[in-house]
Amino acid sequence: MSLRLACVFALVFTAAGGGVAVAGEPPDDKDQGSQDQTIQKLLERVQALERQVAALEQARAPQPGQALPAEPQPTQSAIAIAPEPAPQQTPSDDATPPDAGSRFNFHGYADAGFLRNVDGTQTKKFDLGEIDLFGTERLSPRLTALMELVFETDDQQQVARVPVNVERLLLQYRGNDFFNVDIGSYRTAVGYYSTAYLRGAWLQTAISRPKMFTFEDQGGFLPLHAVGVSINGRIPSGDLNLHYVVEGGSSRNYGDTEGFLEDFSFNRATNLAVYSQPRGAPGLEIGFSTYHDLFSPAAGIGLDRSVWMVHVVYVQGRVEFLNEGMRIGLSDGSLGSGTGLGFYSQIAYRIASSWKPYARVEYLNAYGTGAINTATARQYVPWKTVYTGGVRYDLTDSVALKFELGQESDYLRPSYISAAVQLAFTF
Amino acid sequence: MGRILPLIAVLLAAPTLDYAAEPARTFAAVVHPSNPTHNLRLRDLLSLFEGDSRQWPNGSGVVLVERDTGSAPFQYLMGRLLNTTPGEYKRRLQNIEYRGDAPVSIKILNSDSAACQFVFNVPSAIAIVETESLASQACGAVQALRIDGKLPGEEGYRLK
Repeated sequence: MSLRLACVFALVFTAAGGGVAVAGEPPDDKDQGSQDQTIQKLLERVQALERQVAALEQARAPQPGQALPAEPQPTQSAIAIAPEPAPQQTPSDDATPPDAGSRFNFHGYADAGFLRNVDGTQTKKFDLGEIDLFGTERLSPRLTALMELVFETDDQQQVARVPVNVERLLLQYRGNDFFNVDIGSYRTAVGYYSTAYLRGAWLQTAISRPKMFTFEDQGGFLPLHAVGVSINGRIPSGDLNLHYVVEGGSSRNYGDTEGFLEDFSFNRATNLAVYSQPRGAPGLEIGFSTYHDLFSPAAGIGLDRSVWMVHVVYVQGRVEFLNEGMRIGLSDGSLGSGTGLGFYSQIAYRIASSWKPYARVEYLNAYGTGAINTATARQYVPWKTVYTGGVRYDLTDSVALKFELGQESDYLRPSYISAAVQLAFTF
Repeated sequence: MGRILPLIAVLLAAPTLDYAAEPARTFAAVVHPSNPTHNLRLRDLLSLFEGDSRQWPNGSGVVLVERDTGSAPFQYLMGRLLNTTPGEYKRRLQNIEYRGDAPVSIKILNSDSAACQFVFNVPSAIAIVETESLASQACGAVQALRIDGKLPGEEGYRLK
């Protein structure tokens, strides 16, 4: 409407100006006729412009598939209003920028399956896995809140005691490519698998995780969770494309003096991870991490723990090839020291459009000196070799069916074969 | 064993055979005319659509514009360019977000014209459209990128 009025006013003023210019002279008939013609032309032009304005206003109204290109918007605002990672979105013919309100993202992951002899206990059972609820809320262009809750459903004899695990709770500051800060409860960047496949059975190719990445509350010996500060970003390095992660924190139960004897805790945890994703070899990642803390397996005992990890990973197209090596050391001046050396290698290759067979081999050897002797070390980490093979079949874009067989050899018991079927999905 | 080997060979070749049945088409990566990037290496284009790179050199965040699943540009993107499936692609993008990184911004549109219009409206967006759509009015307002120094139609152009 304002554009229309502006056009009319401009023309009226133009006409009036013309009138003023000739006001000093008495108009004769010829001039009068000329002015009438001019006014008539101007009126026609006003009407034509009004029609154009009406057409433009109609075109600017939302009309799916027919919107004319609008004026380019500033880059920053375009990014700020297009945060939605939604490959599952319904295709749209709306060529306008996404809604500015879509700042909350939520994903859920769950699984159910059938297990046979998984822990070497001859048990055959249907099994409800985890329910993993993951959400992020962009608070500002640089601040994001991230929360992940996991309901562990493996023991529901008492429904009220189903553990709710606050897997992550972070306030993330996204400065730029080179400097980002996460504050809160984070997953330690120890090795590759821990941060590449945190939880969510649907996200990982296999049913089982590599044994060395077993979660702490399920008997794992690697410190995969911590509370503190994690700083990460890229290192200017050209085509080498180096990244860094620096972390400092404590375990979630550290300082909880009411815990039971088996409540492992740690403090003064520092971790440095550096990895390269060479631009010349898309999908390749090579890196290492070095983690150190004061580890307390029982009240009154504090061990210096060091974890060194290296990884060479290639995930591209049909191929997934994961390789990680680990050295963990525990030491105390008077008690002695324990060492664990291990690795795993996993390969998967997608055939046809939905089938992805995979195989994995794992090995670990633990030994010690002094009070932390080899026998003691193997009480904590009894397994020696694990061979796993299976296939993943993607039923839909959101549902995967997996079959897996495994053979595990332990130091403390005869080797056994396990089998599992899992239906994993995201929502 | 004599039966299994041919079956395995067919399974391995199945996606290639599917795509080979498609008529030969060429595709173009289009961006806003104000985008200072005029040439992309093919691997950088892959990196953008895989979610590994989420920023333009000037620091602005990339918005990926993709076509609907049944369209030729989408099938080309999945089958040839990224060598993946829609399911694995979804898993990859969700994994990026799940790791705590900034989510990949994607807009899915159901025509090349709509994709071009979106790119025109959002200066940091990039879309892959069929080359023949470049003649349309909507796509005339955006710029087609050189890929490894070649424009669509030039000898050695790789998006086909």
